[in-house]
Amino acid sequence: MAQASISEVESMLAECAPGSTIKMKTHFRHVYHPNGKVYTALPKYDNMQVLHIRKMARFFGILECAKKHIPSI
Amino acid sequence: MSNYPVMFTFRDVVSGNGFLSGVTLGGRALIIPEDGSWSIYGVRPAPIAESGKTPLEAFANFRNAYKNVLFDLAEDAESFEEFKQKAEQFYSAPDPEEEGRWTEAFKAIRTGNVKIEESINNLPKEAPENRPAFISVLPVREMSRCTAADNVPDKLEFAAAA
Repeated sequence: MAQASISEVESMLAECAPGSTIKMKTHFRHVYHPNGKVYTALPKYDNMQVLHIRKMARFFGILECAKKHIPSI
Repeated sequence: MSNYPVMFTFRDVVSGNGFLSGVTLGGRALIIPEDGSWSIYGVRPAPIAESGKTPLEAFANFRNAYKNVLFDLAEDAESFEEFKQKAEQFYSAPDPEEEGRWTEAFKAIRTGNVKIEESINNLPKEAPENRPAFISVLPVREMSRCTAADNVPDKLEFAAAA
């Protein structure tokens, strides 16, 4: 399965969900969307399978925008 | 490509900052063959996904990820009440697109026109009407009236017309 880096995720979020923030937890990263939604299961590793990014983008309603930045999702 | 709607039940005991909590979940997810492996996408709760070489491996990874999310939420919470609020928000955060895909997958299965992968087809089948989605977050002190009959095994069921 294709992978993407956390820096690609950060760039994508800056464009598709400006104002979102990421906090490292013990098991996962939490991603806070400015609309109040929190994605609680982004892997904490530098590289991650794209299904996690696909799911987060769908959850935030930014999938089409995210695909422009990370086409493999 | 087929999407398979599943339902599951988990019960966990989660310890946090000065509290012990029992968390019972009746959830929904979508299992999908994609990219040469199997993905599982949460519907209730939504903000979680995992993968595996087989549907059951993907589910096992999903189950472990769910527990680890609860552990992260407990670590962040200053009290039981805060943990309960965070766990309920995690469960109820909506993902309309995933919910729509789950419903469409269930309708497709119900028509009988979908070829179902064997490992999925071997799962117990249950009608969603009989398995409402829910989360229960209780402090252990309020669970003192429980008996052995209240134990909840991990359960995975294929959503199909009973």
